[in-house]
Amino acid sequence: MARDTDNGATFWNFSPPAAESHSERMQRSLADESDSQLLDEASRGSEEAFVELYRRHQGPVFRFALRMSGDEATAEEVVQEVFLTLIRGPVRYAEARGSLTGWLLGVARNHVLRVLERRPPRAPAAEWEAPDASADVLAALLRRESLDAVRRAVLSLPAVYREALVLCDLEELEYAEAARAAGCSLGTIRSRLHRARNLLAAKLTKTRECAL
Amino acid sequence: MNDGWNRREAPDFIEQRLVGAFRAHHRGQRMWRTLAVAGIAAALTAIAWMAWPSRATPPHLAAVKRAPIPSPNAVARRPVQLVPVVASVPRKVRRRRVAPTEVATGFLPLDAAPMPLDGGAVIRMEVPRPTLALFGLPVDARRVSVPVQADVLFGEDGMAHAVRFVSTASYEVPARK
Repeated sequence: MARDTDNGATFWNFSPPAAESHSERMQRSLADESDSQLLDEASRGSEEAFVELYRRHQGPVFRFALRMSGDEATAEEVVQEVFLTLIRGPVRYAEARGSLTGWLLGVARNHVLRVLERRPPRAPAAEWEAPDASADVLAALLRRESLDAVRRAVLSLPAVYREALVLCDLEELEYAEAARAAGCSLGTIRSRLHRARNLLAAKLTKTRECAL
Repeated sequence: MNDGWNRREAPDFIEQRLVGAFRAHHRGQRMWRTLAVAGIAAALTAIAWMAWPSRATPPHLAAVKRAPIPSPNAVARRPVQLVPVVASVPRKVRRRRVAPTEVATGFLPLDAAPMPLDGGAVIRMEVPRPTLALFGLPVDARRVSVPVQADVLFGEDGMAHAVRFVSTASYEVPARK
């Protein structure tokens, strides 16, 4: 109900708000709930709670798996496995020990490492995007090339350094969260990250020198 | 640091697959919960059935005739004799095994308000022995890991409407000479 004033006259607008479906209302209310509440509801069979959890956390899990493996199919497989773990339960996640994203990334890490034992990471296929007519095509190509170089360099790092770099620098997790996801101590993740950055810088410098 | 993948997300079909898996998982759980509730109802009925005094004699005991009870007068007229009692111990009694016989509880309705059934099917399945306890039936602690058989009556609506528990009892009788 809204009040409009026009030329001194007062009108009350009784038009109902835009129709909102039940599922939209449900999703809106679930968006305010914590991960623990959603997990609890999902374990009791609430499909909406599960969907909300999935939508919140699938992005980081997918990107982590993609950056670790360089392969979209592997990343999709890992996302499925991680969320199937949630469905099958029981989930040994404790809110006091960190965020659900960190916990899910830990589960994803185990799946990724298992896949990488079978097949090593592969260089990602170049992604094709329709060039924007207004954009500078040359600048776009150079940008694409440099992104490909970064991805290849990240994928060429040993797995323990790669995961430290992906978790801390690309997914921007806090050190404590990253350490929990990687299953190591805070000091270890810091030293691995330091080593990973040095290795990456060396690789990118070499790539740039070769290009010149 | 940017590698151009900062906005990548899983494709939509994965969400659809996972929702399908979620539904299937919880549908299975609901079915087990229904069976457990049905089991409790069946157990209560089974207890009532066992406690009923005028139960029919089981078929394998029907042939046993009850010995006639002498009247008190007859006992009084009989002269009292003192006879030394010698315990007779049979050397070895050969026994033959009789084919196992099924003993089942009656069908126990699972619905709060039983509906007449037009059709359906009885499916025999094995359930964990502790299920009997849910129904209030006694559970043999030595055979707790051995499953027990149950006949579940499914209606045409796909729902379980009644259950009965089946026990395979084998017994031995002395072999004829």
